Amino acid sequence: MNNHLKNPNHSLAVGRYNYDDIDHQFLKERINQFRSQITRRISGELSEDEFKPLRLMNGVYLQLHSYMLRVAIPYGILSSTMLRGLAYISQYYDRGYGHFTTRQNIQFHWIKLEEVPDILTHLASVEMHALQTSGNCIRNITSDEFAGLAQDEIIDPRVYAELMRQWSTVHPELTFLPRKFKIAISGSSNDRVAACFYDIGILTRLNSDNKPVFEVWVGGGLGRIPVKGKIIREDLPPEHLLAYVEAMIRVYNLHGNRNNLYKSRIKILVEGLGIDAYREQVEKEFATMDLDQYRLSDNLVAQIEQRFGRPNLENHPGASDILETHRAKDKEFDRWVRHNTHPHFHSDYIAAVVSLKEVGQTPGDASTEQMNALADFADEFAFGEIRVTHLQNVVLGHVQKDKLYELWQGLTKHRLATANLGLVTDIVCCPGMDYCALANARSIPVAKQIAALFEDIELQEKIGPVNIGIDGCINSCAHHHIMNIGVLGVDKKGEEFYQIKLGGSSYKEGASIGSILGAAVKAEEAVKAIQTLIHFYLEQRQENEHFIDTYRRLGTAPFKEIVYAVA
Amino acid sequence: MPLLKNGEIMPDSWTVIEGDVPSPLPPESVIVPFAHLSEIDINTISHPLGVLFPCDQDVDALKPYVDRLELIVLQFPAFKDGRAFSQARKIREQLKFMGELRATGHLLSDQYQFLIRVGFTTVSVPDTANIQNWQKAMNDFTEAYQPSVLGEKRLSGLRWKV
Amino acid sequence: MASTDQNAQQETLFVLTANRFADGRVVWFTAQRYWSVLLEEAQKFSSKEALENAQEQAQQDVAAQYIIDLHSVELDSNLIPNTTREKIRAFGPSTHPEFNPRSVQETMPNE
Repeated sequence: MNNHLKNPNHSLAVGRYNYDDIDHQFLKERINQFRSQITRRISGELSEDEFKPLRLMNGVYLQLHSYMLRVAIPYGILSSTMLRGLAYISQYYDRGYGHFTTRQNIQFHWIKLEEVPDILTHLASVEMHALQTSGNCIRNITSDEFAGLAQDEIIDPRVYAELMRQWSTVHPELTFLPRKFKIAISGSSNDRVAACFYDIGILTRLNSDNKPVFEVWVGGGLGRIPVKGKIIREDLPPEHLLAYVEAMIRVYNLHGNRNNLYKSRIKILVEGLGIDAYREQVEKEFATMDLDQYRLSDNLVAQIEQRFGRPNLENHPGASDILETHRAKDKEFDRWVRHNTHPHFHSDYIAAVVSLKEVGQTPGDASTEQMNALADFADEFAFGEIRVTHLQNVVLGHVQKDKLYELWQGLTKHRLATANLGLVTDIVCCPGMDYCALANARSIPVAKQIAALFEDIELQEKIGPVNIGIDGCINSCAHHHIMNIGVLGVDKKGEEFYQIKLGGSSYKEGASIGSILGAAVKAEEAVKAIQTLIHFYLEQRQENEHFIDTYRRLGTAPFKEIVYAVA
Repeated sequence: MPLLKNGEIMPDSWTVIEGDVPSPLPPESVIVPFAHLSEIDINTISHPLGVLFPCDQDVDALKPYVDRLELIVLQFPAFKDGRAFSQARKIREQLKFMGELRATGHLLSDQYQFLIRVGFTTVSVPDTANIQNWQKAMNDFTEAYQPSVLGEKRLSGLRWKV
Repeated sequence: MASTDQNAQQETLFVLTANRFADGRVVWFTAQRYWSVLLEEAQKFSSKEALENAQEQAQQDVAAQYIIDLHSVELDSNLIPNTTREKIRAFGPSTHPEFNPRSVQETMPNE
């Protein structure tokens, strides 16, 4: 346990807000409150109906086999200390693994309710919590996995995500909303967070005076009614972020539908009113607010920024050349570099994406041993910082180029060097009916069967970029609506069937919601259908088309024909 | 139903008038439903006047009356229904109402600090409520990440002393 | 699925199940009135009345905060739940055969 304290060279953990005594005190009080709520539930003072929303707001679900604890990873950043803390929980309170989600959280599936306060205490010791990872409140705020290192970044979105995290923590006015509320923020105008599919999505751009401003999207979402959001404000000054977002959520709190679960997300309110009428209400609210109370002054932003550790990036002349030499010598390494790295603004560094999608494994799962290994790699190669992506992989953000080969060799030993990022086996997948009480069908076995068909890496490279999302129910945790190929499990009289959707795309430019291909089929047929679709695309594609391009050129009809012709 | 103020049970001196409002009003402190407020000539009343305001209406509708009201009662049809939290804040911050703001309906003691911080002064709790828990809940948190209508002391950054 | 054969009209059997409040584990109501983690130990009911009687008894354990989400499950002729969901509840996640309740030794948190 003491190895939690292993934090080399830096007093502040890199890439994230570091707690002070006030933050620790707050979490302690929250855990005590939850402990007493459990006691009141056991004594019968709280009914299950009263207790359920309270436990959900502390991240505790009741799933099929057990309780599940969803731990927040604010803006997806973990320190090695935090990751070791998670590994500890997986080992001593769970069954040796954790599941990274598309909202940059981690879930443990075998939790005992009575042990939750102890687990939360342990999490608090590594500056983590499970607050508001469920319930009708403001959920974990997600961000771009390349925040703070991307070449196209205007501001570091994590600082603003942290400001929103703090402000939305147990917010007395906004904790009993009509429904859950999800916010994503990117510090670039290039959308890497699927901003238009969030309750509120925030991108950053420069205004005509060359000052950073936020482009604010509202009312996007997936679920039963997938909707692409709309822009409510193109040029929000960062200093008014909290006031404006509070005005937006206040209007929703007052006017969102509370009678029908399926109509209670903000997207329905915005669609119903129309974006202009909704904007008018928000602006009216905003105009009456005491903006000084909410202002993110330079001083306040700086105070938060100072609690973020910074990587000590140095020049390493020749680092790029060494990397090129390794690539030339080792074909497998070269392949991994091609697929699994992202450029860093500092030319002697590179971001390495660790795939949690090895064929045969559950997408997004990491074992205790893998978590500990990743923490060690982060300490050795990446200033102790780990990032969780919304596609269920992990990033080591600041790797010196000349050390990348060594990192890759280490990852290989822990089966963490699968070179499939963005390829057909990099499947996004929810836990499905193997665990989840909401699911109608299993998703993990389907993901594994699809991945197995395309295990040959050369075949994957030939197919090129394509994303697949597999959901066990319409809540769409795996984003099947906005994946090039989406699979949705449905229940027909206790049996599992799967619907296939084509043509979804997640990001601002060209964002689209997939179209249903045809009638739902059984798992084996769905897997076969995906194989057929991919082979049909390979036959039909022109020049350098990706799957989505060919689909858009040809439309649904020929794909439908080829899949359903035989049946 | 017991009435709580600052964690203590206190007598409720208000009489609730349901349905049509008698004219003239009885010579006591009365709470009238908002729908009937317009029937009263507020310039002639001699006793304290309160109003029961619905959770699905815009509190701006209270503007013409706010100076003459001593009590506004807001409703929580279910503890998960948080509309009245926003209504309360707007009544305090935008309408600048200084009188008693009372919460009624299905509430949990865990919400007591929330209620106080958005501007409620009294809570009408169910007869079965465990008053000790409500008192304890006043001290659940000693700090918060948002300012409240109470004008609490800022600790640093986005943290306030509760 | 097998079609109904008039000659082999099998009586439908039901069991009662819930999740244990303390740890959320899947449990089955037994003839000895305790809750077992093993489906095979569950009491099988062939009549609606017997099922409802047992459900009433089990309801006391709901009231005592021992179990939650009490419901009945229909079994097929092999004494296995009819729906995939209940099969998974009974035998653990299909992706982790080692987590079949038969292979897992666990104590209650407060034992």
